[in-house]
Amino acid sequence: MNTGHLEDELLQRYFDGELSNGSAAEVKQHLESCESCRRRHRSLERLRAFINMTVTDAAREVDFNALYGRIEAGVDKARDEKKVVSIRTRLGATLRRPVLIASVALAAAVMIIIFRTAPSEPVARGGAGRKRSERTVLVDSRSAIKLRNSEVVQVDFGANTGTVFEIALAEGVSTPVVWINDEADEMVGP
Amino acid sequence: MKRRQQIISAFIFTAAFLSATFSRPEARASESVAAEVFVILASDRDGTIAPALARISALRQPPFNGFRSMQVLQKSEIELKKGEPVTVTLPNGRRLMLKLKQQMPDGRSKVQLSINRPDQKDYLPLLEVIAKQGEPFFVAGQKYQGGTLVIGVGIGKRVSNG
Ligand SMILES: [Zn+2]
Repeated sequence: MNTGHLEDELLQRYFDGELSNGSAAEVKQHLESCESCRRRHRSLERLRAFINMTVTDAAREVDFNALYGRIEAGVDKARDEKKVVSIRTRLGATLRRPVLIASVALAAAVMIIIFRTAPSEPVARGGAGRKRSERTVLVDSRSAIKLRNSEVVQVDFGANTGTVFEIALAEGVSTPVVWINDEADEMVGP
Repeated sequence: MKRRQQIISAFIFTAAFLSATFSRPEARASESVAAEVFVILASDRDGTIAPALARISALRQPPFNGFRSMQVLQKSEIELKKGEPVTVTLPNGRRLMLKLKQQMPDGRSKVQLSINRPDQKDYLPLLEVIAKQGEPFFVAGQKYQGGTLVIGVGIGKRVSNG
């Protein structure tokens, strides 16, 4: 660690909280004494804040307006169709902004990746084999622009049995379903 | 190297500025998140599928597309504050508890969910999901009125009451 600066990948993994306590402490110690690496760390923070802001905003606006418009329309289906139409119109209007934001985010991420992979003075201690992982680091990491799918971390079916599976919604997009094999008596009222 | 960093910084700041200009302040509050729980009664009996539901893509896929009727029984909009459980009473009297555990750096939310009879905890004691904003996940299978309850849980709807 004291022979040079922190490798990009190491810094990224520290940033993502993926290092063991020991390694994290070493990185932290280096950051405390090295302005150059601190700057790189800060730029990761800015990048993450920026991407979180834009991507989640975009997802929130686009998907939820659509989804809840649909649910609402389902609940109110006895009413006239005017409501559905107006929800669609509203959706069309709100779509433009998130798309713009997402485009800016994508452009920023792409440019940053290009800058990061451009030839530069060696900051990594690794050899040529390191280059490839550096290049993919932003794409694969927690701060990546790609929205990760929902995932079930743990489930306890208690007195029941059950299954967890995923429904594919689109290329690379899926959502989990937790299916309870309900053997209990139907329950009406508390 | 210096110049490269300046360019990167300038770009990040420009982009962040644009983003801040376009985004709403409440969207950045990270310790609470809006959520919605919607309860659908799905059944094999002849009937209609609420047209609105037919457009939720997950419900068009197996196993959900096997049902011949689907109606929305209930829809609850809630706000989840980190560590504070919120309870929704389901049509069958069971209680669905939802709790925000953590906001992930990638924008997803780690939530805990349980479904139990009042004062009991043996039905679905624990489900932990890292939920992507805007894409509901489903808890299905409870028998109810000759059909099956399909519960959709969406995380991250913006609080809109200002
Ligand atoms: Zn350094």
